[in-house]
Amino acid sequence: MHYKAISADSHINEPAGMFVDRVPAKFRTRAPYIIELDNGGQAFKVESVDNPIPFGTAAVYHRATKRYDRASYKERFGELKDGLSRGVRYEDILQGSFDPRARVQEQIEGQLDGEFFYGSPGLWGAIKAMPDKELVCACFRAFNDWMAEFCSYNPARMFGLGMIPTTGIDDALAELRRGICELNLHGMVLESYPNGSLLEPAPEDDRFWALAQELGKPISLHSSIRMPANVIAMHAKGDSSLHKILAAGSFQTVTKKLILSGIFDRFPRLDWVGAEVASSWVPFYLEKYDNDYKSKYREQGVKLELLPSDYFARNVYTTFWIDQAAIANRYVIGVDRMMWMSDFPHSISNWPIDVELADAQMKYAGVTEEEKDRMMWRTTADLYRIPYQLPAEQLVAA
Amino acid sequence: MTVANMISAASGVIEPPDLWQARLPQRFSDLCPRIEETVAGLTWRVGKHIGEVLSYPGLAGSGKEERLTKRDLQNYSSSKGRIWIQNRDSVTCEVLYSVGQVWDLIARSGDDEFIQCCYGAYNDWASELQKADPARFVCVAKIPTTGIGAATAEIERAGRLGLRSAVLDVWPAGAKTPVRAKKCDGFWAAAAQQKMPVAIYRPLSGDKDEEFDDSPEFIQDISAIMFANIFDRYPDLKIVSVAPHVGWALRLFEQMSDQYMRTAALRKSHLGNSDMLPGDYMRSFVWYTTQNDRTTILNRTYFGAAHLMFASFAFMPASSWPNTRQMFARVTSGMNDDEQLVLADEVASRLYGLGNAKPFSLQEANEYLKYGLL
Repeated sequence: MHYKAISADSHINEPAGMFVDRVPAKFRTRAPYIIELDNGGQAFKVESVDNPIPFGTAAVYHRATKRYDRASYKERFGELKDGLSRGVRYEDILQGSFDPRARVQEQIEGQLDGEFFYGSPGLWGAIKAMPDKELVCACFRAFNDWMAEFCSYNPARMFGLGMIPTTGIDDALAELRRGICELNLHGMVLESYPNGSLLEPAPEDDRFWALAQELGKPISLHSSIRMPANVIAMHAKGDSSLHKILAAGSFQTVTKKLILSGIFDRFPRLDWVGAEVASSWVPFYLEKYDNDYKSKYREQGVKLELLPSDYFARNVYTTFWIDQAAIANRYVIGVDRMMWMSDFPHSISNWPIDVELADAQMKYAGVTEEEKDRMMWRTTADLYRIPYQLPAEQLVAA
Repeated sequence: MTVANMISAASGVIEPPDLWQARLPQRFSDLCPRIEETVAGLTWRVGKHIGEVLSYPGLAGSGKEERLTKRDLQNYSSSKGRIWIQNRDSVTCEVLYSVGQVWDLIARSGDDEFIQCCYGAYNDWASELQKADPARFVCVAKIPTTGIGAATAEIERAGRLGLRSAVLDVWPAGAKTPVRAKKCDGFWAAAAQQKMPVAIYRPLSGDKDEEFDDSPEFIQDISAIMFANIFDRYPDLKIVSVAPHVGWALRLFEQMSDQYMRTAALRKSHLGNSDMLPGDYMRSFVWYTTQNDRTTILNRTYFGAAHLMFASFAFMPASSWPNTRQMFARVTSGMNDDEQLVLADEVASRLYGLGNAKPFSLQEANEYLKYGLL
């Protein structure tokens, strides 16, 4: 029996000691640490970043009985005194956010056969804003060490993704090699271009892409590399400028720059993943990328071996949760380019009914069983080269 | 079948070279926008500020070198000249916008009174052009950038002049004044009451520092309007997104709703209608132009047929003039005749009240493919 559902993008919540317990001794007093907030909650304090980083939407604890389960959602937040503004503590959130034993139980309750784990983007937006690059790099290394340890509890179900430091190409290369070869992580996540810039790729990035291709592991970008250090506060304020800030470093923006810089010509076997980016934007971009290349960029001297949409079909994957326009456009996007994700335990997730909702949206769109398998787990399994079968006793579907 | 009538829902107007010289008070003679003929071509000058060379791709001058002269501009800006332009493109009517660089030059003067006069003079001229042939011209009023009082007064005056829509260059109370400021309500109330759709072409905060394939600035602006509950207070208000592509919105409709719900416990602002999510507001209250964007055509049910209007963007970036019919045929390939007619003619006719076209009912505005599982 095969899998039923593997989430290509789930999350952990960094435990209190992730940094202070793991960075070199000289950084222990300066590494991100947990503080008690006046509202009774807890938050990470990151050096030189004004706002502490509370759990907020990254650690919602609720059991949904339907999508957008407003009642239970609000009720639960009410219990927690409004979550973000009035305080959430570690003991309030799902323990599987950082405890591997609990996580497996949560997977089983949510009918998940496995998950690929990312960190908390809001926290990393703050960490990479720290001025001391050596400290920043140490935090990335600490995360990767912790992730490997976390997933070692059950490597058949828990698939760790490491993070690439934003401190320059040499650190990026070193951590890519260490993450894949020593820590056995399944892929690595970029929080900047490999050279450390949040703005532009650079020729030196080729060393990184060459190594990624050689190691045969996917490289991901989660949402945007321009996650501001105060993203949660901006969300809470309803700051509408956030969309534009994120757009400047979005997967779409970065992918276009990578395509136009010829990365996928030079590294044709590179796998590039957009995590938590949804998929229904792809048809428009394929059309526009191609039109722009033919009408503008080619005239400006950009020479590519293929059309941008061809690189998409060959090198690019996106993840989606509830995305009905994407399912309807699956033949344009590529059924084998779309990977389902739950985002659990972040608040997009409707745990423990994410898989039921995924089934419902596929049924609604008339998706065949073969297509559903492909989107729900098979492409993810192929991409990360995990076996098609869990041991029978661990399989939810069993 | 080829659709008989084709309205371009967004085209760039060609202003007459003496538009402002003929209409501004004498005291502004130093600043008054005027056309200069330079070695490189025609440019606008406003005081000491000179713009880039004017470019109207495909449009030839009448001289031997086919280079545009002031006289050519005068001809093309007239109703007769504009109808020639429309006929050359097989377009039967245009919604005409003035969005050229001259407006940046005018703004740089920093003189509020002068700026208001320039906007007023443009609207006077636009209303005259429209009156010359109201079946072929829908001229869009310009709203001054000098504050809420001037903006509200001008949209009211534009309505009296018979103009059927207005475009904002910045927020009604100024680029840096939040839309949620209560003092802005008079503007939205006037637009709704006069049933004048309000168009957004450029970022209303004035910031355009990067080029994006999607329109984060529009999303930012429409979100700000939505979460300031302006649609809730003025349900007759209609916004028009003026851009050649809108396929990016396919993702936004669903994901904005998702984001709204996931931050339910965090956000301080709430939409007024608990039965509608942001993706519903993005469709019920917003009309979209589209052009070289087959993705949107193929996914039109998500937008709602009543919300999409084809446009040539003549003499604007991405202009399809004089090949608009070919562009239309390409992007609408496979679409039945009735649907083509709706896209090419009916929606714009009804939105702008052309001829005897009936305005959209609330029910019609709410007809789009709603996402299931909600």
